[in-house]
Amino acid sequence: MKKVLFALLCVFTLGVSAQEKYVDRNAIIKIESNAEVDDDVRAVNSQVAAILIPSQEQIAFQVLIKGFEFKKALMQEHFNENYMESDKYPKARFQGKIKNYKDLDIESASPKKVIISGEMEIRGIKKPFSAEAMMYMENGRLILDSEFLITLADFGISIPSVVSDKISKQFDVKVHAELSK
Amino acid sequence: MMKKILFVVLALGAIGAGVGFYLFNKTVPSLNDMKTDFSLSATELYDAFDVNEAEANKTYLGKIVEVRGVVGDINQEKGNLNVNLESGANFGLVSCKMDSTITELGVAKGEEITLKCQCTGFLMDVVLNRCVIAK
Repeated sequence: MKKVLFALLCVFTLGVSAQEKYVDRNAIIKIESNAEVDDDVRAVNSQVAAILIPSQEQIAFQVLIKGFEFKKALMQEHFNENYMESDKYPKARFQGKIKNYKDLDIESASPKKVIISGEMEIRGIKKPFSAEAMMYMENGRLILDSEFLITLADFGISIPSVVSDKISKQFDVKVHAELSK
Repeated sequence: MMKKILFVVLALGAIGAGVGFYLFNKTVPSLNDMKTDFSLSATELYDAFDVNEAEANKTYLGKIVEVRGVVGDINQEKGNLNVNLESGANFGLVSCKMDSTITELGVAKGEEITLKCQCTGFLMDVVLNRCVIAK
């Protein structure tokens, strides 16, 4: 029985590893509040994991909340402790499908607009989510750029009224990935 | 008497405002000056997350770790200096993003290095950032 299981496991793992995938361990996510009072409420995370599996037309992103770097120490602390509760919810995730994958020639150097639709998970709350992205091939790397808004209330993040003029209800999110085989 | 009290109140107010302003504008400090919480090898750190991520998160998340390991790869991706330490696993690594003040490592691929970093968690790799070279 053990041998059968082992054989099955081998077939399964080989099947998975044989599947072509594009990976970027250093994708970038920039977040920024666009409130009227500009208070440097912006941060960068450049250790985002991105994986594209062409045969399944699927793309996934995972990011560690503690990896967002702010300029101001106190802002970073509040972001982690009060707003994102990063000890309890260390990761945010997105997993989705490229809807118009058929239109995308993965080897093409000319940028193509794609629509990615799937599920976003922030602070343990899962929501359906769609965004547009531009994709093109450059020096053997598949480049992806996307920009969208995240509504904080959708993920149970509330802004105290004292700072409501300094932090916007929606955050601007920019994603940049360079995926390679 | 009244004047004295007023003066003390104003002085305290000014000090408070000063401290507040200082704290508000304080930038994220370099890890050079911070105390190390854990000192271990890249393999030990990776195994801890690989075996039980939830437990490892409780121990290491947000903590300052000194991690020694063999340099598997150095890259200058998108303007950041990144060092991947070998973990002994097939696919996973210990991914270290160097502090923006560091431009050179002084070691090559295959050599050993000890880095002092903040642990941010586990994705495909154990992810560390704000790394400086341990003294």
